[in-house]
Amino acid sequence: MVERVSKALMRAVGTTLEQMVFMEVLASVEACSRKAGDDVWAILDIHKPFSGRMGLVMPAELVNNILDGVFTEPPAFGEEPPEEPSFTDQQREDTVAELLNTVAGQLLALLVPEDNTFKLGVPERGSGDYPGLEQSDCYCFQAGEKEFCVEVRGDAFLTR
Amino acid sequence: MKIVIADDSATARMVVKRCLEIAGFYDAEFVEAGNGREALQKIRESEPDMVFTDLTMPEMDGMEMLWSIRQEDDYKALPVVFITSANNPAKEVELKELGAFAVLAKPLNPAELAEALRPLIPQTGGSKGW
Repeated sequence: MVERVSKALMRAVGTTLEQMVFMEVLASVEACSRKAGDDVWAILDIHKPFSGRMGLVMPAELVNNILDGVFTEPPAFGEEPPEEPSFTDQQREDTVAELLNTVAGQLLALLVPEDNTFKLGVPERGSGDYPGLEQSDCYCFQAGEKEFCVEVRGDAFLTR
Repeated sequence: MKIVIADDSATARMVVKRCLEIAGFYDAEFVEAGNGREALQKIRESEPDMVFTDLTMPEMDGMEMLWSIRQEDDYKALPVVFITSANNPAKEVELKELGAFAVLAKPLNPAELAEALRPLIPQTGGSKGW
């Protein structure tokens, strides 16, 4: 992946998870080692100013931790913490779709000149096997000791 | 204070609520909508003090929702804040020309939110000032 794009993606992913769900993100320095498992994923199209696609795939356990931080109220002083919360596939998929939507916006804001507008599609989402993007670059990260991946496809990402 | 939050993502709506609470709006009553059409209905039913909306939503997007409420005399001055991932200076100009009070980028930052809402605070202290 072009270095400028990979640096912008790291910044976009880091800013999104830190500000949205208060999680620190690290870039994986080695080749992506995560294996397919109990995953939650989202894919969205970039329509303007160029055509492209982005995908985000996360292990369900990581998404549950994110949801816990967003939706669960901390116990009041002296109270016991609530029992292990359970979240639905719909909640997990909604969260991953929203994270991808935000990462994509942040990435384009870093790459696209200020006088251009950009337009993103509505994310496709799912649980289980991630369909993946053909002819894409995969970039892996770690948050909460779990690995997740962002895929980027589009000629414009290779030339910027 | 009553605040309508429109976004097709329940996670995004919760993040906006949390940021508003951190920014000082912890006593606000939040009314949620999953798209622009639903937001229009909730605005007419609840008479909010402010509206926070995403841009891209199914059925009716944020721009069409804003245009619609600005056609009604009762809502010509209702503060509408866009919180969108598809934000850059060009889009911000476009939305403000349509009548948006402020345009903020996702991920929402409570400090930026508080700063953007500062002009509204003296007017919205417990009663409608818009």
